Amino acid sequence: MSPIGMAAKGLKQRLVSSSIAASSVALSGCLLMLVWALKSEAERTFAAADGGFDAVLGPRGSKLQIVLNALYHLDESPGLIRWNDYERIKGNRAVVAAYPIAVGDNYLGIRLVGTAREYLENHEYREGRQFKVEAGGALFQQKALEAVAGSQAARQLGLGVGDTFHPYHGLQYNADARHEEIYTVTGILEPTGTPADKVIWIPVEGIQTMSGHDPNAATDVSAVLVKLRPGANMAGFQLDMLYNKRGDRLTFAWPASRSILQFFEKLGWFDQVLQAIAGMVAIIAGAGITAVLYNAMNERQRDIAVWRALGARRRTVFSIALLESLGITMSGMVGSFLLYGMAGSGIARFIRNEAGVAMDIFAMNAAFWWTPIGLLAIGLIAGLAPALKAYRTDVTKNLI
Amino acid sequence: MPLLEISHSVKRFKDEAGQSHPVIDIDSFGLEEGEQVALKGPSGCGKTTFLHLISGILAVDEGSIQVADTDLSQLSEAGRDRFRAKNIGYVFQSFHLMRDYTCLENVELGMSFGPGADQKFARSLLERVGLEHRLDYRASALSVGQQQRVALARALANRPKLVLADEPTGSLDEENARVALSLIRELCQENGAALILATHDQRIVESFERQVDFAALNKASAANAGGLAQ
Repeated sequence: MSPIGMAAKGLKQRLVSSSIAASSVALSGCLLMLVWALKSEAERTFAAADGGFDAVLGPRGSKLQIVLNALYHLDESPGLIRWNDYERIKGNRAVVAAYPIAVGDNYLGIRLVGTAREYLENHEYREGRQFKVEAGGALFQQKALEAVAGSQAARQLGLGVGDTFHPYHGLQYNADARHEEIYTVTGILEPTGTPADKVIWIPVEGIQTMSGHDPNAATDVSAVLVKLRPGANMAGFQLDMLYNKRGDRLTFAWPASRSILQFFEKLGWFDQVLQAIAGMVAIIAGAGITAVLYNAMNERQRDIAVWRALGARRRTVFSIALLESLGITMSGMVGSFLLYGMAGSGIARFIRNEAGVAMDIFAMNAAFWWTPIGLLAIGLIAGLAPALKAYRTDVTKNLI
Repeated sequence: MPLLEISHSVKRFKDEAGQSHPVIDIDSFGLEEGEQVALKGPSGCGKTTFLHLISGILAVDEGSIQVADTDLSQLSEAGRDRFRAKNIGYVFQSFHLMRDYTCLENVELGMSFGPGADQKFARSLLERVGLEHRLDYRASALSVGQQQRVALARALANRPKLVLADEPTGSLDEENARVALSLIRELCQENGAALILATHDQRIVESFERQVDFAALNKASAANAGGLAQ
């Protein structure tokens, strides 16, 4: 029987305590990977989910709020901008495309977003990827009471082509705030993995002229999504100067993804707290392994003495104890990936539902090798005291 | 050529006050290959320590112990461990089997640190001691007599030149003790191993051709007994 077999036997003998120790290792590994890998994947996907736009023009206010509202369909709109602001930036030579965004209504809690048909027709939300309407559907006609549902919104509401609905005022569903208009769904968008999936798209005029809305704002929009001409970095700076430094009425959020990254940077302290918690859990897990194995070595003094009497060298019994520690750690490591898979999928699903951003939780990340390496190191350190205990076992005293 | 040669060997232990006292002090002792000897003596006279010295679990403070042409007093602890794993078989009074190991695994353990696993030989040993139908039984599920037989098979698993048996029948009833004793002797003979059997049971001692009064052999035990008497 090899030392590995003897270590495995030892772990099997103490299945319950070994499993508890392995579970704590699994938990700490899962936490470390969640904090580390999931967070960087969230940063990456959120930054990449800019819908193919370089900037957002919105009312004076927080860039982050404008970006979250116009691009990610989260948060409230900080206000309105004039139609001619939209036309002016659309006419700028450095701008290759600009689309108006108008928000303020919902259907059963799902946000209605008013825009131009060209946005869904021509825009590439990712390089080489355009919106597609599922078979049997079509895009809405501008100025018509027609709607195109994002894939996730359609699934959530059970909407299909030909279905009709009344919009409700506000971004939160309130049964008493029903608008009189009746919209007909003309198409369902194929999934894009972007926030566009989680809203219902209608013509921008629909939001502007919805019954009950302020007629004075009938030509206003919430924001303008802007795509600059490739290589027009200087134009970005110039527009930044124009709107943010010299002007005082509008905000030009450029680059759009920077606001999101700045948002994650602001959450850095929280990230550090989570990392510290995960680190502490890892240390506790290590202490758990030490306790389990140290007690086991106490109970197994006689067995160790017998091994020694049969010719096992001190370093052999030392390595058997260390192998047991590594066995617990490696079981925990496998468990940590399983837990990470489950927890990560749950969190990714939640983020997908809430923000419409599709995350790949197993995208390559240094956390996937540094975490196991760290856990193995903890396992080795945790196994040292029990292994020394085994190493020092007095054969003659324990063979009585 | 003798298998075992002990000359002027002394082993001392410290007492609680830190004073060093000899517990083994033997001028000369030898054993031929394949020979079987009974060491008789009362409990506490140093028989177990003597066996620990021969097996290399303990090292002598003075003198030399040569087993199969190897002077154990010249070996490091790891060297003695390696030597023991390859050349010595041990049978303990309370068997000291691994309770959660099967019979086969217990016997394989006896070869794990020396020649390496040889399941075929382990099986044949268990068949020889009449446990072929208990190969996969856990040691804890066996009767005392069966445990003794597994312990015996384990002692022979590394094909030792010398088997040391420390009160091997002490935990058995008279009938089982008689059967176990004859099995130990037969198996050692079949495998060409010499046997030193330590016991305080006079009936067992008398069944051996060569009997050694350990209390007389070990000068330290006489001195200790004198000390105690005083």
